[in-house]
Amino acid sequence: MIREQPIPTIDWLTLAPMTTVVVAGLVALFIEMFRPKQSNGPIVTVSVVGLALAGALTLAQFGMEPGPTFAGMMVRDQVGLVLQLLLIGVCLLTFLFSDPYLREKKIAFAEFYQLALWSTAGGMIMVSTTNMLMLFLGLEVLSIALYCMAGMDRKQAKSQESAIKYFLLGAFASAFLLMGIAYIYGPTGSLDLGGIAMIAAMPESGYLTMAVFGVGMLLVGLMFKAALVPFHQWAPDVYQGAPTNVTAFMAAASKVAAIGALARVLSASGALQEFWLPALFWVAIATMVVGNFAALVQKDVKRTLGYSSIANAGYVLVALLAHVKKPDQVPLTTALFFLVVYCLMTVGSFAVVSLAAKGGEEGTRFQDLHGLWKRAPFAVGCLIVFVASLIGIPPTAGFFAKLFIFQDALSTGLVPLAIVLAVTSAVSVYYYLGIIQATFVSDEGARKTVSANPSFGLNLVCLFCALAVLVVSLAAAPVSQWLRGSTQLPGEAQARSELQLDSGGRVGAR
Amino acid sequence: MSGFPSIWLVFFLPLAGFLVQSLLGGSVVRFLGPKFGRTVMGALAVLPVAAAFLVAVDITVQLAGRPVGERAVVETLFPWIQLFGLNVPFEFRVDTLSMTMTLIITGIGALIHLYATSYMAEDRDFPRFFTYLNLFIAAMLVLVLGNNLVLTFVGWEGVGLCSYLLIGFWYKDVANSKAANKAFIVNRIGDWGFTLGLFGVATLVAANRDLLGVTDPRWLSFDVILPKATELLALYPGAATAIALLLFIGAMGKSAQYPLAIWLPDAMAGPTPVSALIHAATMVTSGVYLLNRMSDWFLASPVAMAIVAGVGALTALVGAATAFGQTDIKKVLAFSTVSQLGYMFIACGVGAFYAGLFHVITHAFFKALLFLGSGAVIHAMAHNQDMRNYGSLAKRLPITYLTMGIGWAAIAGIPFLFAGFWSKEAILGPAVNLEKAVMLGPLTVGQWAGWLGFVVAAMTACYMTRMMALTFGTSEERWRAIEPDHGHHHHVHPHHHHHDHGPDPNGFFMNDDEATLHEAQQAEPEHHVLDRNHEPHEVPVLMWLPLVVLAVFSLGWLGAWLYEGGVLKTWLTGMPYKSKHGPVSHEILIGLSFLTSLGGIALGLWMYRKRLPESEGWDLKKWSPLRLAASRQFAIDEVLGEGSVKAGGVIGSISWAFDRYVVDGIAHLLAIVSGGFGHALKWVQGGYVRGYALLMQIGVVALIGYLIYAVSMAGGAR
Amino acid sequence: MTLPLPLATSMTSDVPLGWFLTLGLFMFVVGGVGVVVRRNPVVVFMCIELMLNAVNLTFLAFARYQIVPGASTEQAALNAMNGQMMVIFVMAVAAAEVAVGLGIIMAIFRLRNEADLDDMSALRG
Repeated sequence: MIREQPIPTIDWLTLAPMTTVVVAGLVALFIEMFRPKQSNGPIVTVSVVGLALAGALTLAQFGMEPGPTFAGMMVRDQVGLVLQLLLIGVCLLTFLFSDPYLREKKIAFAEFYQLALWSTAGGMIMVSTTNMLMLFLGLEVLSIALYCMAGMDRKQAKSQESAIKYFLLGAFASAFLLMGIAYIYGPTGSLDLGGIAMIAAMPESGYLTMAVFGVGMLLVGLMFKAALVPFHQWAPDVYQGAPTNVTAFMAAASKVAAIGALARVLSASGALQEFWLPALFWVAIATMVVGNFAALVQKDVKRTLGYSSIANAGYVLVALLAHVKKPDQVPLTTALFFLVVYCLMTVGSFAVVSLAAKGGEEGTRFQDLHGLWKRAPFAVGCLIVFVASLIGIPPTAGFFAKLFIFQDALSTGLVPLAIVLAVTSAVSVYYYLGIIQATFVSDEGARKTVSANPSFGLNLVCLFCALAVLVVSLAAAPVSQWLRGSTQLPGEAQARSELQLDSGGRVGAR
Repeated sequence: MSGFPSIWLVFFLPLAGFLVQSLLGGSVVRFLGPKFGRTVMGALAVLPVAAAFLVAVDITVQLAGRPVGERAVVETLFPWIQLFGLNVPFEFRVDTLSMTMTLIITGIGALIHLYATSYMAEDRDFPRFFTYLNLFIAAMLVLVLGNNLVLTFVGWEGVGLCSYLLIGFWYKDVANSKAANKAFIVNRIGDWGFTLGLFGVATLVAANRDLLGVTDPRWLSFDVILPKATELLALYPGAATAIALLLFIGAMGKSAQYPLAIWLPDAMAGPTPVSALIHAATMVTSGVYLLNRMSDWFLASPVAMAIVAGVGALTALVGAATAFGQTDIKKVLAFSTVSQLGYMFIACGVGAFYAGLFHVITHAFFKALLFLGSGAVIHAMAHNQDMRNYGSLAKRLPITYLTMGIGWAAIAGIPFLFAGFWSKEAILGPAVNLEKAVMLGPLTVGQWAGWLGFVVAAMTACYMTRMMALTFGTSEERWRAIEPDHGHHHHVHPHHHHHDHGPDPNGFFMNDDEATLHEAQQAEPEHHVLDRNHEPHEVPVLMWLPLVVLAVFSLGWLGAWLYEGGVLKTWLTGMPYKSKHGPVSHEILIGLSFLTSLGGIALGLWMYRKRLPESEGWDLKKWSPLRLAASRQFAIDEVLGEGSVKAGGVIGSISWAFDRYVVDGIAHLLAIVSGGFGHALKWVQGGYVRGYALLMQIGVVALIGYLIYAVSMAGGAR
Repeated sequence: MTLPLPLATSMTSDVPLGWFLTLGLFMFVVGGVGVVVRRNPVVVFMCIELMLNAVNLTFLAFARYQIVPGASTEQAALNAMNGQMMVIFVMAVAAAEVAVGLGIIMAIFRLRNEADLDDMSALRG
């Protein structure tokens, strides 16, 4: 018989940011319903206000007592809050340059804003839960909205192709994720990530096998989202085919959410690392190598940046592995710092690339950027900052981001990863500089290339991202300190303490 | 012990000024009209610097009120670099040395800003000028206030950048751009030394942290390393010499010591306020500041000290000799600056660091005064800088004449009444009495330098008298001889061609065609040209007011108070002033000073009393060989410039060949391999969903297969 | 209980848990192979649905056969609810995916009058 359970105490503030974002999406949907096919102005306003409010609600939670709520379905901690704030920021920045782009590209699809908002909410759920059900739900909310957004240019075969590819492969990956959850659930009876740690202590090897199988499958699902080799192949195609503002959002937001979730899963299964760490070690190497080398031979800017984002996922995986290997010595800050910088440079560079659309046409090959320097000097100037940061040239934040990872890898004995990181970074200079070079090549004699005039919003995004890249670099130490807040994922600490508490054999849901 | 948080105000005020000028300057001038707009922006440029000066005065007064041991405070703004156990915060050091420099920078800076608002009033790029000038003040403050070598380096590069921008301020004239390039490139050599010295210090301290018991992670900060320096360097005498010399190379670049002095005369291409502020009063003295700051590192190496003194003496001599051959009024002052900087390094080289800084202070006043005065003359003479076209300006520019006269008396070292005498005395006294140091023949290097210093003092008095006589003296108004014809204008200035540096494959310097173009631009119709119809007038009040203030500070009271009263030495070193009695007594020194200064002046007056002497005529061919050589800078510039360019060419060809065949070969091979790999990956990425799904499944099988294998192996072990 | 996996025999049924798990994995593999070999997006998606159903079966089997060591009856009942709840969410999400997926496939049909996945390989390299 089930005894009546007490209603768990609920900390509504933990849930407030996601709720705000979702409600903003709903309000925007109603606006579109009542005044269809009109200016997107009110929708953008509502969205931006909603995001700002959500950002404020997130900021308000910094420094509050961390801990789980909703019976452990959601959790408030430093990592989650930082990543939520980052997701909100990415969404906001994307919106600032989306409207002119959508108009230039003649995409009559106002639902972009609602979908992006919900997608953001999904990502926010993903990064602030240790419950695998919530993780799955967040992932699907994030992904399903992204499938629609990728295909929102209905007249373009490429957009449609990217949507169906992303959709089928995404659903395919979800199946692996779910199978993984099932096999973790089996031996623990719990949907909480904390359960994984308990299995390591179990005497019977059959349970261990099941759990390791489960963790492996779960990781496959998340590695797909984070675009890690060999689960990366969707990324370049989808990044290239999707409308550029969607690509910007996807490259930043879905990466942040996936890495955030991956960080939690890896930390929670730290006790099993003797099994999966060697495998992920090779995944990291393969990701850095494949991402950078494949980018060398690309002819499309968006595709190049897609491969670059794969490579960056490899870098951040190195940071995660270093953290999991020695959590007391290497805080998760490095990964967070990298993600913050990555989002700034990625959104910024895609914003500049979105200039390539004009009057329903869009060319994103390298030669389509020729002469952009003359037409949009400020945007290209900012692009130089982003690219410098992506390469990792010292005065930019990208340098510190990579340096910290390098340092972590060395100090945790992951020396080969540090070497691969350095070598592949050097390789990446070639294609990154190619992007800059393309913008400076004279377009005389070539066909009349099209590109839109940079809008105010786009200039604002460029300015913000470029300034932030420089400021974050100047203040690398204080920023890391702020990101650090609490050095450990609570899941980890909980899992450990629980491990000791539960030696008596009481294992179960919390 | 409370801190001085207001020091940030001193730094942020000019920085805010820089932001205002750069972001709003153009718009304000456009919106308010050129005249009123420039007045507003000029006020907005002067005020932050003046306010910073007042704050600095307040801090200095408070600092002086403290006991000697508590006169150094570190203020940290934010942690800046944190790496591998090294912590480099963004921190300022408020102590007697840094505040002395800060007072000079902001005080004289404010006066020169004020002067420049009038001097540059007609310039179209008025806000751009003050953008650079405010940024310069901010960067210079970082240089002197920074509490670690890294921040000092940031300021070092910052002032270098501003100097470059301001020398090339009138960038449409190719000669100015090339002068800016030259300054920048020559300074690069100095920066190379500075950087290596910085790395040397870092390495040495990092390697010996445990030995010294340095637990503070800020182990590059001055308050951590300086107290340990003597102890540390005693262990590594070789490293001490190497680091001191490397840092000295940095100082040589910035402070224009031969052979790196060749950029400073060309730097006069910038507007005159820039020459006064950057290339006379502040930036060029940062080398002396560095030596003062790192004095313990230099004291540990007698060899390095001897080299410093020797280079200083040589520079003083060559600079003074070259000044005799100059006809451009600013060039005379430029070489005199080089020469005076040499004095400061003599002081440092003989261990009288505070005397070097003393000369920095007095020199800042009288040289800024002389430069601003020359600016006033140039302003009055339609931007013609050739002294041979001047003459008899004393009655037309009375205020300029009187104030510059004080500056002249100060630099000539007229005893007791003027500031220059005191600081020269403070340097040469310790120098000629230096006994325990590296010997060169019968005397120590320091003694050689000191005696040479007296010779240079006489030369200085003489060439400065020449400058004053040619400009203000005599009754002939020589510009009356200039026909209002541009062609003639060219013929009477063969000297303008001295920019010809021979073969110059890299185009750093001007060739003949460019020189002609340069002159053609100089003679642009809208440019008011000096000819016989010209009537010079006294400059406006905003320009002569700073002259008067600077003149007051060039008088003897400042020197007497700072030196004879022992104020400065106590202030800087914390030790009481005590008159030293070496083999050469105080009385002999003063007697020598009388002799050199008055003798030099007398000689000059005798030569230039009446009219332009034959030997100073227009035709360079009639000049005596020595003077001609001086006018050509004894070919130092040409030999160094041309020689380094040629040597660079040879090294360049060798490295080109190496690069072409070895490096490129490897690079191409790598590129081919990388490209091939990339294409292989491209082939894997076939575009088929099914293919992607297959690869994912292969990945899953491999991953899961490995995991199960690993578990079963571990399971067996359990 | 000498099986390599600690497959507890059922409390109520004669079919052991291992059989369910094996069936689930079998369905999963069949679905996975289907995704790779079929070219019609609708069929591919059906294969994915098959995989999801394999997951559901696994969840339900685990929920029914509580194998958590040392759990009390009460705890076991709660644990069972976890798995069943998960299944409901998986079905709901799958339904949402169907809606979106069919929408995308429809859009492609409109654009090119056929929907062969192998023809959609313009994005590659």
